[in-house]
Amino acid sequence: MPPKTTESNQILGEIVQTSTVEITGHCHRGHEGPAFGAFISAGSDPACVAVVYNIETASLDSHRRPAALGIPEDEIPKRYPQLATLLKKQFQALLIGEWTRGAFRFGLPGRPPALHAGIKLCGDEELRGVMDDLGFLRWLRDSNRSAPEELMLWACKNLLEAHGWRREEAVRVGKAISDVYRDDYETLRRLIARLESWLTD
Amino acid sequence: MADGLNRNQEERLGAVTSGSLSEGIEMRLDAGVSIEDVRAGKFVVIEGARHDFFSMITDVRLDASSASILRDPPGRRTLLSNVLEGDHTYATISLKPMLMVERKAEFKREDDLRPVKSVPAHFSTVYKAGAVDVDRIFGREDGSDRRYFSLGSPLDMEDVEVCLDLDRFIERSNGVFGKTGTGKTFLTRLVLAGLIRSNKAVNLIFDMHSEYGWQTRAESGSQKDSFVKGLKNLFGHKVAICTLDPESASARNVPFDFELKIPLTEIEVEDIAPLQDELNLHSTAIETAYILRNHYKKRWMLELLDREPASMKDWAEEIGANKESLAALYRKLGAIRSLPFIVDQPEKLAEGASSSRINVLRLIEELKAGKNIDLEFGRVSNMLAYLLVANLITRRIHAAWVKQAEKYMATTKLEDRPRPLMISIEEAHKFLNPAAARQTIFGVIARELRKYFVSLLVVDQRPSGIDDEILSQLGTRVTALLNDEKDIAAVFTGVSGAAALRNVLASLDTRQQALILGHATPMPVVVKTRHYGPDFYQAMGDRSDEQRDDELDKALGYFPEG
Ligand SMILES: Nc1ncnc2c1ncn2[C@@H]1O[C@H](COP(=O)(O)OP(=O)(O)O)[C@@H](O)[C@H]1O
Ligand SMILES: [Mg+2]
Repeated sequence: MPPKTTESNQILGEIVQTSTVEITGHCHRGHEGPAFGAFISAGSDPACVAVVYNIETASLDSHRRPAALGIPEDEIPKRYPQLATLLKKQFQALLIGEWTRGAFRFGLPGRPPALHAGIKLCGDEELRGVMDDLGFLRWLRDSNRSAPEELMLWACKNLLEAHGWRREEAVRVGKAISDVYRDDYETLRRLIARLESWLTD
Repeated sequence: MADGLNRNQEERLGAVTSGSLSEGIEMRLDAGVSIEDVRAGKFVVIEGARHDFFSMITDVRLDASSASILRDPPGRRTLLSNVLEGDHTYATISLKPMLMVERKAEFKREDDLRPVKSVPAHFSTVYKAGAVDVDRIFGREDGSDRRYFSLGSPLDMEDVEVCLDLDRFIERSNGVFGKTGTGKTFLTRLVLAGLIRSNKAVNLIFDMHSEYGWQTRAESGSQKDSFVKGLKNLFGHKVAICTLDPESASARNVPFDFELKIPLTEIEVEDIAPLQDELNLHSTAIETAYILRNHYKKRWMLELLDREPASMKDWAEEIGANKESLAALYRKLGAIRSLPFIVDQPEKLAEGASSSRINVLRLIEELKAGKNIDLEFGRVSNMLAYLLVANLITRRIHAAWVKQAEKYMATTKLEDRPRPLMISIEEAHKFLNPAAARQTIFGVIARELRKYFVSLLVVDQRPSGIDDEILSQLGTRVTALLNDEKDIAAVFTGVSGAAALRNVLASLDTRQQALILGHATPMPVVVKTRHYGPDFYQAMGDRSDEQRDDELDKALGYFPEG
């Protein structure tokens, strides 16, 4: 069971496609949807944790493709109130682990979470739990989904935010990244510099 | 710590990564440990599977996992530098295991300290050594037999004591080395204090600079210009000060017990031979001296020095000597006669007279009776006087001790056993350089390995000047900082696996630190030398002046007020 969280226990959407390594989720109407690199959890017993690597908004009906409207953006909701119901917000996330006996364990779940299972955003407490096993960072890079380096960085940013950007945690995360980029000092240097710029902001 | 498995994790330094029996062990320093806390000479323990390996840090090195880090190093205190620290940039520490001890409930010093015959496994944990470890290995300064004498504390372990095993110390000749001003004299005085207190050996000190017997002014360091106590101040009647220069002693207010006088008639040719260099004597001059001796027996020097220079030629013909050599001998031995402690004839001492003037024979009697003697030179601290006196006395002592030892071998009675004697000499290379070592009695003693119960404590700032064979016979070497490569090499003459220790020696502090290695310690160790000051005086049983006054008051029937 993931630890109970207050702010993030709301279901923001549900699984519409599921497989061993990744899931696709659909946002419920009125929900903002997760950001790039966000940690989400889905299902229960065990709950799976995944990192969002792609977000898209598309037409619900695959035959009707959006076209340019030619008016200022802030006038769209007024002039085309029906538009929101014709679009879907959807996101893909890589499965990175699951909660077993209250602790986060990095690794693929034996069974992927069920179709239509509710999806929640992980709260700070859960994120701190995820920090205990950072082995998944290498997966994020090796998955080759979207921009792997960016994905890793944003995931780390989310984790550190949950820790209030404490420096020793940044060093810990940085060390995990340095493990992944053991043979590529140039990239490591770049990534850590990005982390540091966030840290000092 | 008996089973070794419950060492404090805070004392952890790192893990073994590689190594060999011959080259020593490499350890990776844990990320959290500051490299600046890890010093050459530090005493550490490697916790193997079944044994503890007691080791010394011999080198500290910085490493990086990839060359690109070094090409483009991170800025100081950046996140990147923190991230790399310990994992990608790290310190490798070289260790030299010196002893292994099996971990078991019962520990017996005599049986359980073993030479290192294996290496600890990969990733064995390395810890700072603790007080218990030091006590186990070096013994403790307690018990009534005073066998262990604390000489200082290991690096970074202020409250722990490293002890010298005095029983083993006196079994061999020993050395104290170090550059000028590093604390040789203070170290030697410490060791002598330990020996005197323990009664394990009687000491004769050739005190060239008059700094062992009575209080002297410290020349430098934190105690500069304050007075430090001498051995006589500390041990009273156990120590006698014998001076060669009563005038200087009186002027300095030194309450000497004896003044030594040496009659010309007691000087033998063999006492002159070691002075060849100092007097610039040709070997034919020595032959001439033998001719004189054959003619005039004990009076040979007197006859020579009393001659009129004009009559030399005839005299040379008369006794069959080379006249140039005879003239040279006359000129050069004149310097001996002018030494203040040289007299022409033995003085007729009235029986039981209270005169403090003694000859060498009396001096030897005092030593035999167990009195420690500080022979101070006062103002006559020139090399000629020093070499002459030290050689002359030591030859006589040696003869006396050989005689006694032979008697003991014949009777095997304990009361015939000679008292172990240790002779301390500063400027030892003057007696023990390769040329002199073959001639002087000191060379003989150093080589005899205490067969006759006499051994040396050689003190020198230039060990490379000492004959190799003699150096390799030294049992225990206590060495303060040396810079000269030759001197460093000399200290390790005859020591196996010394390469690793050279670093350690060269990185000692300039004062009051020393590397002890050899017979009297189970393993080499670096110590911060015990402070020679009030605490030490107290430990030696010295009472402060106040205490003494109090006692006196009590004895006289006065009591302090209140
Ligand atoms: N164990 C010690 N305790 C106190 N002071 C010391 C000690 N060792 C060295 N010193 C200080 O260092 C100075 C030099 O020591 P000294 O023994 O005279 O050197 P060396 O004989 O090697 O020339 C002393 O005057 C003293 O102030
Ligand atoms: Mg000195």
